[in-house]
Amino acid sequence: MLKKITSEKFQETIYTATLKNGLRVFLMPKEGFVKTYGLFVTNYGSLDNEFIPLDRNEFVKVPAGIAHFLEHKVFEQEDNKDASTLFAQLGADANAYTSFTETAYLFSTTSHVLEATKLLLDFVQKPHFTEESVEAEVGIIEQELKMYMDRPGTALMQGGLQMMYKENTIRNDIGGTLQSIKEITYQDLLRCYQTFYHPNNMIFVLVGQFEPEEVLQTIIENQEAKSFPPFKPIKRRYYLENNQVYQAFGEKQMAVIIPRASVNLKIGYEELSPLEIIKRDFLLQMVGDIYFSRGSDFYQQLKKDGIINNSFSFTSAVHELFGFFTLSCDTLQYEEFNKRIKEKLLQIRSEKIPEEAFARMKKVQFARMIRQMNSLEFWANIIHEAGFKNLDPFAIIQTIEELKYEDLRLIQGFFVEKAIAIYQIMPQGDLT
Amino acid sequence: MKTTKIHLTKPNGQLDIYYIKTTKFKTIAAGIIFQTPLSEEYLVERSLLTSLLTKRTKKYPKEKNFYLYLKELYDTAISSQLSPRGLVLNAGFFANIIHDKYLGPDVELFQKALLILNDVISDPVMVDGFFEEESIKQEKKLLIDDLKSMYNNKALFANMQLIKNMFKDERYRLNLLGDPSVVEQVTKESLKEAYEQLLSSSAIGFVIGDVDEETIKKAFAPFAFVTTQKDFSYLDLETTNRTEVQELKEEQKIAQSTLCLGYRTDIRIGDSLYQAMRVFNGMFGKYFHSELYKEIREKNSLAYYISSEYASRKGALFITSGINKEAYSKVLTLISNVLTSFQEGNVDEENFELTKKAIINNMIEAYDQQTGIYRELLFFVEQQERRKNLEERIKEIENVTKEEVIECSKKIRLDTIFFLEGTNGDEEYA
Repeated sequence: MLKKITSEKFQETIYTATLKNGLRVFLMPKEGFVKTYGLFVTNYGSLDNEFIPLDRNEFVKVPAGIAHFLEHKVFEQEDNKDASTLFAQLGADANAYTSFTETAYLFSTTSHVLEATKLLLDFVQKPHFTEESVEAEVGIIEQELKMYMDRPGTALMQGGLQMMYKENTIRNDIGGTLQSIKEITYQDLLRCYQTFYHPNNMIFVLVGQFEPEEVLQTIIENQEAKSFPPFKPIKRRYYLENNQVYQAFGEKQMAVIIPRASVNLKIGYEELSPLEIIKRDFLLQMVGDIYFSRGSDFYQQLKKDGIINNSFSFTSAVHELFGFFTLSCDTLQYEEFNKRIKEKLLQIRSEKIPEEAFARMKKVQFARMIRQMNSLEFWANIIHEAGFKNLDPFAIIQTIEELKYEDLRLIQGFFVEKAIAIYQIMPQGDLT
Repeated sequence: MKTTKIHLTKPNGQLDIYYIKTTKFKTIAAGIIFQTPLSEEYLVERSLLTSLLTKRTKKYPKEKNFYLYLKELYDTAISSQLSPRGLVLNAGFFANIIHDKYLGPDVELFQKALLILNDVISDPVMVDGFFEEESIKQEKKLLIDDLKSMYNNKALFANMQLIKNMFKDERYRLNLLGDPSVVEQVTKESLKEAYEQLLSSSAIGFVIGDVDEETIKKAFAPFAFVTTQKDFSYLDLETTNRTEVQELKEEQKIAQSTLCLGYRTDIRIGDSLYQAMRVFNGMFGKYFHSELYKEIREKNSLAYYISSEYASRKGALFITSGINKEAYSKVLTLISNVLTSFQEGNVDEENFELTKKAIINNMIEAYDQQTGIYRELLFFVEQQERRKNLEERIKEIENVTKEEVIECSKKIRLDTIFFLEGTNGDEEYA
């Protein structure tokens, strides 16, 4: 019942199966590696704050930061045990993360792969948190939030998103606020858990040292011993937005000595197939490389003028529910930075991008992908991301090879005035 | 995984190349490392040189064109790094490239990349025998900006303050690699002297990846550097005698306070208690199952993170934690209680076993990453044939006894506390 997906070019094979309860399993044996990396991930992140729960027929709204709070509590097991200790007993490392769109639990090990696989499934599917333990977690998460609050990079990104978005819950910090985490109740957590941790909404990935058939058998036995309510597709409410920014400018004071400036370009919602979205994501990165990397005249000029330094960077994300392209830098010349970057962004719309630059950056995208293939974590990530979109992971890689020069017009339209917002972090008190 | 040593004969001596063959990765890592004793002299110059040299060559005198050329070569990565190891300073120049088998015939990227690396080091842009003033000015500004940016990362900043104060009179403080005022003093003359000294210092080459020995010899043929010195002091035995604990504080308007503690252990790599010290550190604060994590986070909800780190060449141990300022005394007391409990002989059986397993797992896992293999290669450079293989090292961890762990806990003494106190109240974030 295992289906095989193979790439001749990269000499890699992935095995996949969908179980009766809806869980999708992806197994990728990797020759020569000693480590095995397991990932159990639910299609549920900080953006999923309004939905119809499994036990109700109408929408409910839950406090910000709940998916992340739940991630913390899932580690709590029967008899006051902690899942990371159970993994440690197998000599394995366990961890977890929550993003805008997913919550993932993971382990890495060099032995006891089958036991670790069962443990990953069991701990996520049988958490054991109580009303008292929910209370106790608030103090810990509070410290986690404060740690991020003091990071200018995090504050800058958060601020940028709040400038761009008016209603989309991407405005909220993934972990919520010091206030919202206090509002989260045991009942809220349970309701989210029951709704989003159904096997049908989840993917299991294993990359490393194992026999695929044997692992699959183990997973099937494990899953068939558990019962789940019938799955009904989860209705979620999102606030999708066009490319008009909410506010064009904002700033905040923090304990920094050099201002940190950012120019944010918002990408409006478009109804597109997953591959089309991925394509735009790659194209945007390439345009970023062409105009804002060391290989561009623009970059060299800004550096010469003392406006940017090594802290200059850009990130892009084109997703189904949101999208942005952000450039930032620690710079005393923040006003000039904002002005020049904005001007450049607006030029891109009508610029004739040189064909050779496009060809070069395509090579770079391809090489970056190959470079990442050295890590098991990369495979686990691309496999599950493709899985949630019902795509073949190799098709994502192939998208790069198939990019055409003409495709650039798909994104050149992004670069307009109303889509740009400035956000900056300023030192407290006077600038010296 | 075996490290092979190749001797390449040069007109003025020989160059040692360390090489680990593996087919695990789709890329190849290679480079040249210059080694000198760690000292203040030319330290900032070296820091400037490593970044200055990797931006252009005489063939590609403009940073932009050099960068585009590297992109054209399938994003060939040329980088450099200064890294102290004990009382040795390594100045490394690295190339990381895609293996030819994914690129089609006749690409020969490995050869090309090493030629570029050689140009980067040996054939820089010079005007009248000096580096260009404009480039020097720019690099100085970039370095100063980098140093200033560190202030923004509060945990890093707090740890830097701890190191600065704890090792005020020891070379370990040089791990911080300079401060802005020293950068200003660099001249084109001092930079040139530092450059000449760098090139004449002892060098080694390395390769990790699917390459054969002949190809390596051919690729390293143009390099004119030689291995001249082999007995470096990779252990740092310097210390400061302190009669009482230094307790330091600084206030900033931030939400979270950072608590840093520095201990001395007097146990270093190669000492009989070295592996036991690693186990102690693991049990004390390195993992999610460690005592500090259980006590401070799980039982008392006082922190999101608390962790300890063992600097094994220095014989120092550091603890870092993000807490509320009100919790300062309480957390200090709890940490001290945890340590006292070890010293009184309370070694939790489960923690002891879990820690050994975790250390062993980390040791094995390291071989799945180029960086992990690179670390292993550097260990081989240091210890040569004395370097024990993985199985032997695993055995050493397994053989550590509880008594040895208790002995370690008794040897450690608190030296310096640094507290970065956050004075913002929660109401500022409401």
